[in-house]
Amino acid sequence: MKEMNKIEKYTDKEWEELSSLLSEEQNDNKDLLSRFMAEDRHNTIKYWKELKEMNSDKEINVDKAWNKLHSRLSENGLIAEAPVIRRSFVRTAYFRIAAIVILLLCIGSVLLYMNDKGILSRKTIVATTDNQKNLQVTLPDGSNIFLNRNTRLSYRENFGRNGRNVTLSGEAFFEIARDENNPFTVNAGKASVKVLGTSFNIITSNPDSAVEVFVKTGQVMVSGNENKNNLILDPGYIGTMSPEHSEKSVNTDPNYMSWNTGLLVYDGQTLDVVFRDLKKVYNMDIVADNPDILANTWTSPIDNQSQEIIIRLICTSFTLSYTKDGNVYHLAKK
Amino acid sequence: MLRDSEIIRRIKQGDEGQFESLFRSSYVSLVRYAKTLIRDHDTAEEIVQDLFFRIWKDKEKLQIESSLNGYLYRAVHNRCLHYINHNKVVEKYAREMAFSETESNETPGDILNYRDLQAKIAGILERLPEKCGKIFCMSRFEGLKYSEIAQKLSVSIKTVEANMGRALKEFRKALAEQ
Repeated sequence: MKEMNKIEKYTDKEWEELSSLLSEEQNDNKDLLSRFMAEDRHNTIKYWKELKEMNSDKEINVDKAWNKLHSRLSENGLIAEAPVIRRSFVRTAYFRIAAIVILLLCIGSVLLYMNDKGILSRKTIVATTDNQKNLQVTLPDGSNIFLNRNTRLSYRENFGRNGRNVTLSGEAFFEIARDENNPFTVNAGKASVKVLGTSFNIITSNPDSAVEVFVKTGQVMVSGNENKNNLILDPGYIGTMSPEHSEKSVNTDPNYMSWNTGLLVYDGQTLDVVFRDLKKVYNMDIVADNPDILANTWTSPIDNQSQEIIIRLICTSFTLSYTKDGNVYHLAKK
Repeated sequence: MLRDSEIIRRIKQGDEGQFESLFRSSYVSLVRYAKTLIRDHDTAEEIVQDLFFRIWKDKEKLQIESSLNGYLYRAVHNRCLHYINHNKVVEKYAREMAFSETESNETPGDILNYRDLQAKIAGILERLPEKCGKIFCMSRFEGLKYSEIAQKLSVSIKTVEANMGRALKEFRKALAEQ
């Protein structure tokens, strides 16, 4: 109990300072440190520092370790041989048309590429339909890309050998494995985005055809293809690039990444805003029979719930009833 | 950054990409943690790889009550102890590493062996919230600076400072417990 009292003696602010001192982040409050040292009967300082020091001897190669684990898992039939790219399409007429279009595009781009470079290099194309989102693609370098609906990503077979290049149309979130010597470039139509290792979101399908980039971590460079402007973006910023115009601003929309995380948060927005987001994130179509319903305000988070639960939540909150007609929910006052 | 529950759910469903990213993000710090007890580098790497092998093999049965980080460190800790007990080298190691360079101002009561220290850390990580434990490990095991941690987790340096303060307080508390 005596020991506990000693701990209570320091305020949270002092613990913060002490940890900065011991972790060598700063060293200007020597008084606090010496007071702590004088009372340190349990070698807190020694162990705290040792945890870091006793390990600085040998580099750990994560890629090598992952390959080793991966081959052990595949030897045991627990994981597919090579990293697989999942392609699950909905078999509809649209799919067939899309497949033909993609095939033609693919043949076209291969021919263009051969014409351009005189080499034949295979392209891997991953695409999502209207019903798919958050399709995860893991590239050979360990980078992960999450595709939103109606999005197409492609890269060449020689990815990584001559720079890491991919082409995107639609919307996707990128988590790029760090490699200082091998920059990662996204060709996004009107702009290209260059990074070393960070996470960011790109939209190429905006109505005004501007390319929009939102940075979550790290730093990103966006270059216009038709103008010579460059934008350097820090975390939290959105940059837009069109042939005529480029600008950056701080993102103020807490639901910007919701298509990927499934989490929507609100602070008194009206239901028409909420319904627009639900359409975007959960592909839910909600129609209010009476426009008054749309003026209600919403404050609870929606976090990966099923459509059924979401609609019931809304109905209970405002004493509404719903009917489902095909894929569309109709709301009416009780 | 996804929350633990979401990561666990995706892995249970057989999401290989998620499994790989968990491996990549925690491997270095788990190996270093294993090395606090198992002095042999290659064995430490094997222990951590084997843990991930089992996690994937039995992913349907995965039950995690504490934070994911706490779970991984506790599992590595148990595996280290198991390894040592099976190799009958515990006494030798304990003696070798329990402070060959013991400083003169320490009384015997002050000296923990590394097995206790590692157990305490596993305990601390189970008590600390997700993010706090992660930040502690990134600082102590991966040797990252506050600014680097802030960037990797996309949080502010202030958040890192506050969480490190909290972690140090728990660390001290755990050392004081007998």
